[in-house]
Amino acid sequence: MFRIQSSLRAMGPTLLGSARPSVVGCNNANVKATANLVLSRGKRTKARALAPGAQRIINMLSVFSAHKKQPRRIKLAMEDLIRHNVVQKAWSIFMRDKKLIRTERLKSQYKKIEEAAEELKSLNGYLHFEATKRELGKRFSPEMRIPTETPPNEIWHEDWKVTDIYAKKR
Amino acid sequence: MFKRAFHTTVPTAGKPGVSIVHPVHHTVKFKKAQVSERYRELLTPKSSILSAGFRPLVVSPDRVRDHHYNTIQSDLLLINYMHGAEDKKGIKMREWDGSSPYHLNRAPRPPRGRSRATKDIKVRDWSNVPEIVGVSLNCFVPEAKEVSDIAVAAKLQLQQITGVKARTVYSRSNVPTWRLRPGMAMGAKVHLVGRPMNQFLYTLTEIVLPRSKTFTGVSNSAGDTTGNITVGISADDARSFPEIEGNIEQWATTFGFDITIHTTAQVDPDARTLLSAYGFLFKGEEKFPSRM
Amino acid sequence: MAGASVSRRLVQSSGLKNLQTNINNSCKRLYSTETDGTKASTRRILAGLILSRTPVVTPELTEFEKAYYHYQDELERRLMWTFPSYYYFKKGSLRERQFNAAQRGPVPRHANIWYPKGIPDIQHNRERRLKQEIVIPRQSADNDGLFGNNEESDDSLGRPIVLNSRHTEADEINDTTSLKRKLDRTLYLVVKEQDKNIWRFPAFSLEQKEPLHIAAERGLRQIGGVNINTWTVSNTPAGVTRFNESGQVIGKEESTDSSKREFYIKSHILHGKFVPQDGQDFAWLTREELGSKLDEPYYNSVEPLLSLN
Repeated sequence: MFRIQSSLRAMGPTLLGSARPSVVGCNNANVKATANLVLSRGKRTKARALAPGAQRIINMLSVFSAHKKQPRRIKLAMEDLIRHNVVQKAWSIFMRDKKLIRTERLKSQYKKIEEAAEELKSLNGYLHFEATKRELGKRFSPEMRIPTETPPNEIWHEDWKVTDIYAKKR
Repeated sequence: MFKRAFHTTVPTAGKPGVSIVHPVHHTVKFKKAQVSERYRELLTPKSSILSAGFRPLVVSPDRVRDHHYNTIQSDLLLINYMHGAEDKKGIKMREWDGSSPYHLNRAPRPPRGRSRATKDIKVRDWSNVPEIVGVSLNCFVPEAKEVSDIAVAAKLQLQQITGVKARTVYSRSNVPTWRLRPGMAMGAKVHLVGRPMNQFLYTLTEIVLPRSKTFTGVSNSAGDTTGNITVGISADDARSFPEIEGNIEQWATTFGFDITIHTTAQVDPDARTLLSAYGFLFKGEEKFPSRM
Repeated sequence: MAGASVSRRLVQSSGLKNLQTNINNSCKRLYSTETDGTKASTRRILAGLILSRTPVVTPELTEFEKAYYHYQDELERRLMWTFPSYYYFKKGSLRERQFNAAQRGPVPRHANIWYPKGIPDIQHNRERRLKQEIVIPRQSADNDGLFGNNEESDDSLGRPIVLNSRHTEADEINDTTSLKRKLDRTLYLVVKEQDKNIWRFPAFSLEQKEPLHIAAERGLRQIGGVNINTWTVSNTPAGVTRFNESGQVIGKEESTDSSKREFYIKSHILHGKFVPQDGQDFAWLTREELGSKLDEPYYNSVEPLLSLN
């Protein structure tokens, strides 16, 4: 019996972990008890645990993975499907109209620019030369802001002084 | 045995042959399994709610796009206006003169002193006001050669920053002295359009770049001559993205990446004017192409 | 010879050496035609200024847009992958506990129970049949010691976020001289011509050798004070309006060489405000308001230059 126990110990924690206690001590009650004792002492969890770095990578990969994260597919009834299609169609018509108005506006603005430049040319050569001179390296002002959903705390900097430019430069 | 009566070209290089007498029948290769009823569902476009890949795209108002249409677009129209401009033809490939019968079907030569043809520059009018059409991020991590897991972290960083699924990039070249083999994961890339693109752009210009200690502006010499501007973000600046900063203990190492902004501008100076409207600042001396 | 030096600089900077001769020729032509006739034409040309305040806040949504965005948002929440909270919150950490406590959680599935809304299908603490609802745990200022618990001071980081109203005081009293009105719209500056009692975009006569965009900016500072920061969109005029001797707007066909013309330069105001130097009436108005303020022929001639928003 002692021999069995020592040989089990010698086999190391890996085998102990995989061996079923009931199989080891199938005939002898004493053997069974000893095997159980050995098992409770042998810590197999440590040998199986992953390195902390590997666990991090697995966590990262699981973010990309769809496994267990996908919802059920949407199944619309015929009525709902028609409703959805009507909404989508209405939206695309809405956007198309907006785009049409926008393009027409740009087109008329271009015609206006062209007309003004043409007229200036016929009136005054100097002014036309200055007005149609290429502005190389033109930049928008960095002080222009993209509108936000709600206004900033200071909505408009009304007390701006022309000297602020020089103060900033310094 | 019966053979087809059409006059056909010989199928070569994996391409099917084409019959060359009228009526011209193009033979199309297909896998028989793909026309089976089981695959019918895959033909549904992803824009349809019946498709498994459906995702709604217009989920919120887009303030950057609105700003472009309300203010920037008509300003750019005025800025780019050139009086009496005409289309400028690019330098094209040189055709063979046909003095020899061997010139038939011979590929044209590239222009003198160049490797490829250049594009025509069309008159700038209301139909081609420049706008940003896409942004691609490319993160290449040389250290991933030794530790392949680094590529996973780089991919996750791009995905976190943009909210769009990134793709791994693999090495294609074989350099034994660098121990580089084809197929090694070397980093990640992602291409943004629409709302995620605009969200990324304003995060960049309103949060990340103003807080950077090293970034001094987009270089005026950056650009591929056809209106696409590239700017690099350092690994330190990547920490300022709110998605990384809010979870900074998970990000011991961050990765720098390149941002390419694709615009419909025909030349780089026009693209720079457009980008300045989005809050990008430029540095260095600007050089202007002779043909613009 | 300011013009010549400018053009030389232009040529040098752009590197267009082959164009140098052309520009020199055009300059010669410019100066050779500088006669009394040109001076007279300068007197009849005015530099108009379309000064706009671009929107401060995003455009107001229509009911349809609101409903559509809401529908799409709900669809996205229904179809999105489950939030990987295990990635963001370390197991056993305080933040994980706070996050889990804030979630409402799905209805659990048990055997032998009848569910009127269908049998729950739960994975990763998410009901797969329904939209995903994630509650962000609120960190109140007093139980979070990190940022200090001083609720009174305005600059403590833990203070709750209060959004500013899109509707301002100027909107309440409809103060058309204020730049803080109608934040979601583009406002345009118009002034009242004192002698004629009509509203117009400001327009200025040119000085000797003065391009249009310079004249427009100079004129603005003369009538509105120097403490105004503007950005001129371009040196090119955006449009032209012609007037006859009695100040009526006329079309291109009716105009003669002696008609007065206004060329409009576009500009945006960035900071500061317009302070009339001689008590002139002025107003910052939207496109629709301009339609009711300006006389019809004048409005029709300038309306295409205005922004849709």
